[in-house]
Amino acid sequence: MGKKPYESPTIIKIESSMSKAGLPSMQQKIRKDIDGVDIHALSDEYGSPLFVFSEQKMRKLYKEAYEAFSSRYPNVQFGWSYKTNYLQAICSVFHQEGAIAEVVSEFEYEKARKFGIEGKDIIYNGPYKPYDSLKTAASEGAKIHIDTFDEISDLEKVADELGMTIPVAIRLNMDIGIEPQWSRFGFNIESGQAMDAVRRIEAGGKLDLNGLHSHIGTFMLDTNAYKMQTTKMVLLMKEIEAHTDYIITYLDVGGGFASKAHLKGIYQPPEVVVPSIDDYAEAITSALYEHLEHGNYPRLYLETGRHLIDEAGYLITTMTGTKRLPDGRRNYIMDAGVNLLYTAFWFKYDLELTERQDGMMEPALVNGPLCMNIDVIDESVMLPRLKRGSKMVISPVGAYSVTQWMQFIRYRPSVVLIDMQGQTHLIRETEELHDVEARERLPEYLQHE
Amino acid sequence: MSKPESGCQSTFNMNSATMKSYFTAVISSYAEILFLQNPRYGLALLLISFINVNTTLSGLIAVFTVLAFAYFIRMEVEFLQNGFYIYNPLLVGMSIGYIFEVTAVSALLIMMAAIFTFLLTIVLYHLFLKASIPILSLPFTLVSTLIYLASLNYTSLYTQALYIKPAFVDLTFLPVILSMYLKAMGTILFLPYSGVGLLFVIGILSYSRIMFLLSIAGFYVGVFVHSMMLGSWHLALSNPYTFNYILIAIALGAIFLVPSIRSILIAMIGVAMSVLFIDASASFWAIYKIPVFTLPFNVIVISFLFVLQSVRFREFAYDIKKTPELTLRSYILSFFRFRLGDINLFLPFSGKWSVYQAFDGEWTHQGEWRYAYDFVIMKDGESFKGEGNHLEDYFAYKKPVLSPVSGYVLDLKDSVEDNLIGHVNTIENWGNYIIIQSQLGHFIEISHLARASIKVKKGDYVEAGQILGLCGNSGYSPQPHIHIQVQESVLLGSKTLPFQFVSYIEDDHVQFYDDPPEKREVESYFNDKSLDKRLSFTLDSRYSYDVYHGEKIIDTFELKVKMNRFSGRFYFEDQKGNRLHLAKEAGMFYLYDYEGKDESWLQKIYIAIPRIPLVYRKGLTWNDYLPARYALRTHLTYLLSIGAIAFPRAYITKGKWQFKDEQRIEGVLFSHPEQKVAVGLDQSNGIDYIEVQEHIIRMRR
Ligand SMILES: Cc1ncc(COP(=O)(O)O)c(C=O)c1O
Repeated sequence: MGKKPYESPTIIKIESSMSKAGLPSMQQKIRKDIDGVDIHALSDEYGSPLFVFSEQKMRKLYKEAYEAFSSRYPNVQFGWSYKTNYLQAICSVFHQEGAIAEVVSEFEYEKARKFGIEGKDIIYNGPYKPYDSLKTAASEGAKIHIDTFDEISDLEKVADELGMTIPVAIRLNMDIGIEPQWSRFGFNIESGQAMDAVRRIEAGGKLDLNGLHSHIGTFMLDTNAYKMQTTKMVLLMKEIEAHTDYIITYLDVGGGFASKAHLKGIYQPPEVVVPSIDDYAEAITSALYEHLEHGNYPRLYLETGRHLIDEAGYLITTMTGTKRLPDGRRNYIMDAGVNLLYTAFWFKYDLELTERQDGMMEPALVNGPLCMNIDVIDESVMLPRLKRGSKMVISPVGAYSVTQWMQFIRYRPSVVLIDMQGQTHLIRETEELHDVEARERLPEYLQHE
Repeated sequence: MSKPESGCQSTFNMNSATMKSYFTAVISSYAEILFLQNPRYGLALLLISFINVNTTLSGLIAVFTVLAFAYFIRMEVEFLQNGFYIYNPLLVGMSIGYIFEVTAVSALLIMMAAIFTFLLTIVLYHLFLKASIPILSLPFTLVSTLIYLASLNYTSLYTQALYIKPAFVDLTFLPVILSMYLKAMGTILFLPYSGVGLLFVIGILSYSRIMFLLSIAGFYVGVFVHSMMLGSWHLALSNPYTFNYILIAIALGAIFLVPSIRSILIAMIGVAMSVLFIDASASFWAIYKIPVFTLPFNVIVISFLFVLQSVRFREFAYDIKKTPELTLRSYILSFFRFRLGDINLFLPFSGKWSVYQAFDGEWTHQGEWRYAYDFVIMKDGESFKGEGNHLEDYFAYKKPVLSPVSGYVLDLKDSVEDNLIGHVNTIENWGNYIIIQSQLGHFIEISHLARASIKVKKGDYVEAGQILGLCGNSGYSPQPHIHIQVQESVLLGSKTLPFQFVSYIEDDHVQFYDDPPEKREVESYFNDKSLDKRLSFTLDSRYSYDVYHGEKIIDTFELKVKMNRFSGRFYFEDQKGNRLHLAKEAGMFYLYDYEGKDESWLQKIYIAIPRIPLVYRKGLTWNDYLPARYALRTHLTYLLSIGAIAFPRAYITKGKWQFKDEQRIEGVLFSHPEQKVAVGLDQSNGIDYIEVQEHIIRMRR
């Protein structure tokens, strides 16, 4: 047994049983496995850090969400929001469950097409859609959601070029009583801009307006906002149908349903503040029933991203070094940081240990491996003293992490999927030097002999 | 007033189209006597009937009198066109001409009789309409009897009474057993000659094999029964009223009832009964020297139809087509395609629910209340999560209850407490309920709604699919569920009636008009607005198509959307006049009743896509049925349609269709060999392309 390195003692004020964040903090949180697969076995086999996704959880969340809506409204279709997580295996699970694709760029569009998703099953959103990709999307029958007046002009040109009438929807923004209002996307309803856009499309005569879309934000905790959004969309639909020949066959209310994640600045636990999927469904469908004229149901599209994947994603990370900071806090350096967890700026994650540690809980600052000040996973969390090499599981990290991660300083790690039977599948390999340099070109005169 | 009254003017301005209509009316009325709905056959009959100039002349006098009269009272031409209103006057005219020579006096008699018959026809028609019973030639029988009775006093007519018999039209070389049948046939048009009868028989044979077979069966069964009674085959054969057997057999066996084994048996019972009638009435009528005419036929057929209609006889022909073959085809197709049940509901909820109790359910669907359905939501074999001790644990609790029909809310209750789990309310056992009267008049009751959840008021008009309230646990309900029934009256708890669900999804397959068995999980749907829009065909819109064989355009055609102004039915019509009816109801768009030439492009469209459910799910499948001959492309149609009387299934071809994506539908017709078809829906409106047999039909832009 080696001698313990000396560390000077410190006095720690033990606070009440609740931390500032309102979480019970004096208890060690332990997670030994994900869907029955041992954490250590996972990192032994696939390395650390390691993203792990649970197919079981994904399917469960999808089914719950679909049923919450379909048991209330008979014409519902989910579109998997690619940007939330576009690993092929992940998209595949949601497509298998019946979701179509929601994309916001030509890159995502190509990805969906390569995946075998037909144009008709792609919702094409986004404030910038290059002309060529609009043309491809139109010819393949995608659901194009127009964001600007310029895009109307572009599409009319495409319509002429292709010699066809293009079915389109417009994106809307509106006052739904929450701040900040996402007013930079689409056409504003209250100012009359949305109706202007409709008139503009009508005057052109080359597009067939058949849908309305809006996305009011992400991680929306207020179900009432959806109720207002849906109401305003239905009212606009009625106005359009009353004043033009267009028939609005679908309403797309976007995404934004919260996951059980802990937003910084909110002091109650997610179990308390995050509405259930049934609450969201109730808000949206009750608004539909209240304002729709009956007989025919417009299809209701949902572009739910975060809610379906966030809680299915975990990041296994290893403690690589520790020291004490001048303010007395313990500091741990992990092998994963904000390079992999871009969302750390907004969310306070659940940090779980894989085995119970002896010793007192103490405040700790958990950092990533980057040589930058901002590389903070958690600036204040109560942890027992960790041994070097011990593992930590960070969750929920399923949403936006593996799309917004950076190849910065370090390689991006492997991603593993645990299937319904508890088998693991490597769905993305750890990067190598070649992956990073593959697209580089070194001018000849700079090459060394 | 300076404005000319142009509207009035035109009424008295008979144009050539109107003349043509009147002409059609005349010849149609001839055809009608032999149940033939084809003016060309009428023309042939008219020409043949000139063998006896006198009867024909008086028949025509009657008809033209009626037409002049109809014109005089400004009756619409369309009403007269099919010959229905004038065939009774025609018969009356002929019956007078049969015994009296046409003179100025008898012509006057004919004219009076004709107008009277016309009036009586319309009066009886409206009286009988309520019971949906045809009047047949009842006006003729009544008026002719009247005229014959009256004319006993008109001695001036009798002196010129006429007994001519053109000899050459009797086929004396035929055995009597055959010639009597032919003669009976001729007698129907007052031409009791076997030669004429033969021509009629040939006409009937070419028009409908079923009618031909029934005429033979009817005649000989009648004669056989009669001969048993009389003890003389010969007497029975030579009875002058045997034509009644033929009329009864055809009317009951093929026209007013759908041809089937059962209908034919009924027809033969009718024929047998008519023997008594003929003998009895002949004895009685003979006292006054008047013929029995078609009285046996009228009384027997009308009595049968009255009773069969009131017992809702399944083969009662509500939709009589041009020929019995067509009636049968349409009946068989409707039977397989639409199941013919008349109370149809949508499922009263959204999403997937399971049948907890169906008709005759063992717990509460018993006795007077046997026709009811209970639905719950099940996941992994349970209707609740957790322990199931709380209402909130139940998946069905507080889920929307949607209206199963369009209609008026007649009654409701909203104040009964929801029972705690494990308790039931035996006093207010229906709990919170809604009773809706559908547009067709049926009373639909839904029970056990959540307290204070009902979102409609008494007297409100609700549409199918509209939210009514939320599922609850009030009344005699051990766990939250939806109870639905159709009942005899608006009174709570009145006797229940059987019904079926129009369209729903089960295992990614759309079922039409069915009653799902217990434990089955079914998913409701209501019209999707997008499919609804794409399959909206507005009146007078036109669609042009090119037909490709490989790369080559081999034909082009145009479809126009039209509406029959009497029935309100929509149809596509091509330039050749072929018609294909279309409808959008009960959660589907469907094509039906093709009228026209075989192998037309319009018929191919029908084959390729007889119906489309108005709901889209990728991979969703559904079945439908087509007339076998369309799919088989065979000309053995005679055999097929006769065989169909006994084996309806042989007459249809089943097909299965599937949504490949939102715009492409692929199908297989289970003919021998199987055929693949595909349909592309346009993104905005209409059918973009059809792939059928070796052709591709593409919309031209
Ligand atoms: C247009 C659009 N749809 C859907 C989403 C998905 O949202 P979420 O992941 O919050 O459900 C986003 C995310 O920003 C979006 O911009």
